[in-house]
Amino acid sequence: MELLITALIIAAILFGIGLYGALSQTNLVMIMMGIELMLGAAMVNLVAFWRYLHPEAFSIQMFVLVAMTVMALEGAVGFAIATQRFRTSGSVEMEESAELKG
Amino acid sequence: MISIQLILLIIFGLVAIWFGWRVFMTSSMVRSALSLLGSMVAIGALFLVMEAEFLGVLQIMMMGTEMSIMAVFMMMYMMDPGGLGNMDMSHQKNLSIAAGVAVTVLITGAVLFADWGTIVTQVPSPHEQNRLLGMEILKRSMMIFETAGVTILTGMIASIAVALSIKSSREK
Amino acid sequence: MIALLLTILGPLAASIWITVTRKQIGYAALTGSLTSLIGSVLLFLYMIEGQIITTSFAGLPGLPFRLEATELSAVLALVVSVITTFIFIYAIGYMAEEKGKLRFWSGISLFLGAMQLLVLAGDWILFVMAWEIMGFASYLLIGTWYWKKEAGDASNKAFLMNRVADLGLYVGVFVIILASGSSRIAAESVQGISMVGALALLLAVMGKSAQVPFQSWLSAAMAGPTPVSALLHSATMVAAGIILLLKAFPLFSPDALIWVGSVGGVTILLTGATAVFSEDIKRMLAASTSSQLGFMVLAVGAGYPAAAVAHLIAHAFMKSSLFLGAGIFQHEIGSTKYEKLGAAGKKLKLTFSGFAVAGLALAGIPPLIGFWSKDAILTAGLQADPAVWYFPAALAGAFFTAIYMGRSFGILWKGRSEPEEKPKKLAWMQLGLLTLVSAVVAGWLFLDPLVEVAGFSVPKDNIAMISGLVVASIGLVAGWFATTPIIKNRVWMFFRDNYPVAGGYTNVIVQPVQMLANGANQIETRLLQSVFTIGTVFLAVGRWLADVPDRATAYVIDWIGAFNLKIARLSGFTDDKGIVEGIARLVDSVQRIGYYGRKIQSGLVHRELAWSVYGMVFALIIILLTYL
Repeated sequence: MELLITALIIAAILFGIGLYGALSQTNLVMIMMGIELMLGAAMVNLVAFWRYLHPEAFSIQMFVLVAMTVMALEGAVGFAIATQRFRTSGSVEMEESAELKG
Repeated sequence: MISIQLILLIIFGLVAIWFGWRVFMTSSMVRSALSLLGSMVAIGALFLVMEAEFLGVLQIMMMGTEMSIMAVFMMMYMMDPGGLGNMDMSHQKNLSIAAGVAVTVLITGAVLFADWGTIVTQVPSPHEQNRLLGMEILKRSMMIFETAGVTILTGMIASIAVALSIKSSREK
Repeated sequence: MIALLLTILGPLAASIWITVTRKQIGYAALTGSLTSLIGSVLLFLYMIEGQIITTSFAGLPGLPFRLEATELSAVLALVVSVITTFIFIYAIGYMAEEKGKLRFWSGISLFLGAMQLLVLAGDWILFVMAWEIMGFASYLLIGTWYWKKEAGDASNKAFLMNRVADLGLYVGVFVIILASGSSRIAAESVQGISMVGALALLLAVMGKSAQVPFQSWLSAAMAGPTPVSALLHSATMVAAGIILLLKAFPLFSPDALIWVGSVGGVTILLTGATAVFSEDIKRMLAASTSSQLGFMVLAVGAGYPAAAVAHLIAHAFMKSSLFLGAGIFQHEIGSTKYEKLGAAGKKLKLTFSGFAVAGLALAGIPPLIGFWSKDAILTAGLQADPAVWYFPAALAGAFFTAIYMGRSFGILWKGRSEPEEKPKKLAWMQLGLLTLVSAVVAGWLFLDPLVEVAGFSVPKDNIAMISGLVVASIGLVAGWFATTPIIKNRVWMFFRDNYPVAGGYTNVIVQPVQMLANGANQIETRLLQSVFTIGTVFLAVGRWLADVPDRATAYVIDWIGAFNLKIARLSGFTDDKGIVEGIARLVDSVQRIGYYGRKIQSGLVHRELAWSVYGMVFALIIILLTYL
């Protein structure tokens, strides 16, 4: 039981750090790093569940694979957006970018 | 019951948390990227400790590549990659700290007070795990796998499309 | 099963390909024909080993469609596909410089598919369908050069005449299905059909196989390209009538057979005479086809379908060779009239030799294929019980055959000629011609065994053989010397023009039909007018009735109207004040919500993220509370 709880708490803390980073950083790339941390924490959670509660259910590992895929993809698309933004406005700071204000 | 697994879990967990913290606490961009790499590798090690060998190895390999690319992008886009200017690049700090702490506390509470049932101690061997994971992918989760593949393709196309420059297309 | 499909669907697919893609149409059609050839060879081989391939699939309720490769069907399918393949080879050369290729090739491939379907049909409904498609294909093909007036008229005439005769087919098939309860074409005689049914079928045969009095469409159909004449109007389509007779033979009573034989005999004589006095080589061949078909009909009527089968196969090879040869002459000289074709044989010696061999075979000279089949028919005529005049009629027909063939030889050979340049692609045409002629020559090898494989045994008789030879020799010699190309004598012209009675087809049939149509039109107009008048009368009556005043009704109606008006005013009031007002207020509130909502939105990424975090925390709390 301790094993499971330890792993889950580690994941919770990582998630919190990631959330803090995603909310507090001005730079787009830093925000992405925060999101990646959050996803990593989620994956730790999943693997802990798999290992300690259902080692026979490999669909959980499938889920982890999908989450990894999503991480990689989100990195790719995010960087593409950052590139384009850098080209058009010269910086990727999120502080000044209020174009979507409605 | 202190087992070797618990010790390793705690060690690698602390390493991951420390590196994660360092990502946002340092002002040098390259160091942020490398810290994130360290954190991800530690998470991979956690997977290995929890006997999900395939996932662990996959995580380490992928994250290695991804973080190096991220480091390159950092250097391209940051105003101060070396972090020598010592500017505080953050906003709504209070809100973020509050949000992070609140979420952590909530989740920990949920973890501690939930009834998890019995813990299973027997895990299939790594060889067996790979085989079973493969069977899982190719039988029940085939659709998911295919969808993931298509999603990757879409992501590739989308990122290339977004990153195309108007000027470069005119030059052609 | 695959063999069946190949045989029938191969050429149909080729036809569709040609119509859709319009590429390589000659070779595509040839491919379709080769597919059919492969399929029919397979069927033949299966049949020799004793395996009859059948397949049935869904059709009308209670009457499934069947395809059956019986002995006779397999043999006929093989013969059809062999002849067609070589005629296609010929046609590639013939049509190389002609217009109308697309229509020709797609039509003739369609025809081949339909013919194979007819031969392989195991039930009457498929048979009728194939018959109709063949008639349609014949219409398309005769009118290949439709911009020429005589081609358009000929295709119309052929189609209409066949249509009238097809009525007989429908009635006959109807009678058969009623009598036997199923639409299967049975090899054994189930039970006979009535005289009416038999005569109806005979009518269909007369139309399709150009027997008297329906023979004039065949002469007119010579306006089509020569491959069409060679394939349709000598070897296959007109043979469809004979195939009908063969398949229905077990169902005919002896009395009906006498009618059949009589029709055949009359046709032999009359159309043979037409051929003798003909001025045009293709018309001569057309009349000759009617005459030879008359032989086959006579054989069936005499009760010896074996002789008909033998002559069917033999005639197919002989007549198609003759037509192909005539086509080469036509291609060269530019006309088919005897007066222009003088000494054409000397110019095109190879073609003439092929033509001569086939012609001698038709006249019945051994050891060519025609001798054996004609011998069989003469024997049939001699051995038939009921009508003793079958044999003389057949003998006279053989005599006529020899005369007109001899005449054509004489005209083609005698005279002087200057050598001219050969046309392009003559080689294709000659190849097609010569392969078929070689079948004619080698006929004595395969005709009897083939007929026997088809399930019949060929009758033979010495008297018939000798009298046939005598008649053939005399006729050939007589014909050779009677080579006036143009006939001026009135009596002989009457024979030559297919006995036009009372002005011929146009007067006897077309004009009365048109008058009938006009009359019907008039009647319909009158009817319409009277209906209108009735309508107007009723309308007037109704109006008069409505004019009668009734005060009570008017008053009640007024009162009802006023009441309704009050209700309408009331509902209008509620609408205005109530509903519309409500909607306006609703819209206003939505707008205000939007206004306040806009203030929250800042467009900054981190603010938006913060909002999502608030939401997430909120959700987490709720989940925790439900769990705790």
